[in-house]
Amino acid sequence: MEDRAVKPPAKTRSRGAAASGPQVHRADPLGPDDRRHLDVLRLQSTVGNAAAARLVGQGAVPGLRVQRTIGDGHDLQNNRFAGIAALEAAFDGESTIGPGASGGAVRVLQQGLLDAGFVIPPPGVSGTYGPTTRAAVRAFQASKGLSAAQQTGIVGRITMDLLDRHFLGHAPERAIATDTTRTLLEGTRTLTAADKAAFRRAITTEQRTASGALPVFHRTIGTSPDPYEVRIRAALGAAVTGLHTLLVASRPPRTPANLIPGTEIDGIAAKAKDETDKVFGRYKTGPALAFGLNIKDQFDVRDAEIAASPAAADAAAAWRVDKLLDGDDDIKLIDQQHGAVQSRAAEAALIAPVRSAVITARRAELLAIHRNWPASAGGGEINLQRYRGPTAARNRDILYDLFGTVIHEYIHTLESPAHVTFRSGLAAQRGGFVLREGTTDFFAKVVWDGLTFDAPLRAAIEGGFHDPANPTSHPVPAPDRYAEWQNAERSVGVVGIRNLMAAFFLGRTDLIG
Amino acid sequence: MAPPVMAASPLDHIARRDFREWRGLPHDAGYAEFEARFPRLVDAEAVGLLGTAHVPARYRIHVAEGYPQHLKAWYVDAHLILVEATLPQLASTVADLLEALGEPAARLDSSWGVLTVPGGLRVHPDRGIAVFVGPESQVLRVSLFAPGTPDDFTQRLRVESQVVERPLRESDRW
Repeated sequence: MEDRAVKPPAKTRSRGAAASGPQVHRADPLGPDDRRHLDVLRLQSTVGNAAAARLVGQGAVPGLRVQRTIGDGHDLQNNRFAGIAALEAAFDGESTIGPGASGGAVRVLQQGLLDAGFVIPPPGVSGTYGPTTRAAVRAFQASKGLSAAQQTGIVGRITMDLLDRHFLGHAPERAIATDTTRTLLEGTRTLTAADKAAFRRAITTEQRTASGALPVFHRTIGTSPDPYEVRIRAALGAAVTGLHTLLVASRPPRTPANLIPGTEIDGIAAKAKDETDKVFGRYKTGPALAFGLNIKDQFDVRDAEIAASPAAADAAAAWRVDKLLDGDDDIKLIDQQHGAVQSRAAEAALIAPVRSAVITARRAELLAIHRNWPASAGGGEINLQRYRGPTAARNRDILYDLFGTVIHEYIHTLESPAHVTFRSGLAAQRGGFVLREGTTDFFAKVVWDGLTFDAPLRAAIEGGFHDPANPTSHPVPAPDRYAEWQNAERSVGVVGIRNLMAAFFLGRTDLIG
Repeated sequence: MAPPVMAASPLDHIARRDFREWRGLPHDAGYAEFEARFPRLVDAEAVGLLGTAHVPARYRIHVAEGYPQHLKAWYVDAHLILVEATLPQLASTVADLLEALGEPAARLDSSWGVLTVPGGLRVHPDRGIAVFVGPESQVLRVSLFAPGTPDDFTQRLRVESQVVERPLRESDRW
């Protein structure tokens, strides 16, 4: 994203420091000062990077300040803004964004102001920071109670922080979705080619390498006595054992008393629909999901599939192993250490007999894992496990997870056919998966973040495990989400929440691409 | 306008689980008549999209003898457009059924769980039936609809059967 005329940060910002913790550097415009620099280094070695960063930030080493990088722990949190160098630099107090600035970062700022409810008269989201943008920033600053002197109309550390926080709970998105004073398409905007390109970048999850070259494979490496295929076999075996323990051995017997009844699932599904409709009902509603209709017992479905066809059982066992080869963290690490690319001929030849051996030797466990896998979805239906937990607290967690899952799945049913067609034309990693699961999960998060888990809602979800004597004592677990919801939120920063909702619910895909 | 009336014959074929003489649902088949013959499993209805054109339709699950996984009836307004039966207990042998239907107009790849069966879906659009034959020559699913062209089936009736598995989550840990 270009940021022409944005006051540049003192040092090129990169995501490279994400895994290495905060980095403390001398920052321009300070001149050379080796003694102070050594002070900082000593501080780092004594108390660690994070503490050193805090101390330096607090002025413990006079004359120095922290040169921050993206990923240093002091970063923007909302995906609309996070990772955009100019916005991160403003947040870090290293630069400001104001009149004369232009580029993608300004467009994201302008869209954020619009979604926060601040009018930017034409030219609107133009990418140029002119008087109308400055006025909108001033209005935002005033709305947050900044003093008259702080209402500069320029985005610096405080304003960027406030704007970032403004969207964290997704209240602005809910306000727009539920605003009955405006028509559904009012406030949507026609996208420029630059907007569309930025949207595509936001929803793309393809991994890019610097050079594009494949790593060199080493069957043996100095840090391990075993060759690659032996390590892979050991890791596969451990993964199968681990999954079997987690998903099969720890489950209770499949007696009715140990399974959540369909009526209870239906009650939670109805509540999920109600809460979702409160937010997005102006755009679209649909029938509640129901057990036996479009919610099914994953174990029963897969058991029937396997029982009906020995070939399906073979495929399921092989599929489980392939999923592990493709996604298990330990196997990924081994691949990385050996420079292995499993699809390449040399590695594939080593893996093939390992794969076959594990499929054969662990078949029964693999099929049990397959039957007991937590959830799957397709064809408009979701398959879930219905196991009860061993404790009341665990059962409440299971029911909250079910509630969150059904919100997500209900939103799937609201997707317009035109949006399905649009995203079906995109490869999975080029936006197809983000527009399918990421956008749905983003909308689910918008709903979830607005929920007030008071006693009535908790009672509706927790059912028989609700404790009226301590109605709000159980900590509500936040639903796990597809990582791609963050891409979806990033895309909202580009096109705005109105455009995204119009595309998803109403089929106006011209408003996203 | 009075709801369309379906001839009794197709419903009898469904009830008998015998599709050797199947000639398709009537183009004006009424959902009301279908549900009068086959009771609902649950009252709730669901929405879904059919075919590559993503045609919106509603469906309910209905109970019938010999259909252990029940009948899934898809309808638009009052019109029954598609009935699906998974793992039906057919009155005839599979070989007899396939012989009676003749050569399909199209053989499409189809999914049974995580298994893809190449060419497993035998589509007879002129007879209003598609039979999903598994790798061991068993009938995994039967789809019943009004006679049309192969494109009609692919674009407006075929149900997406590919399943996406949810990744393991922290909350799945016991």
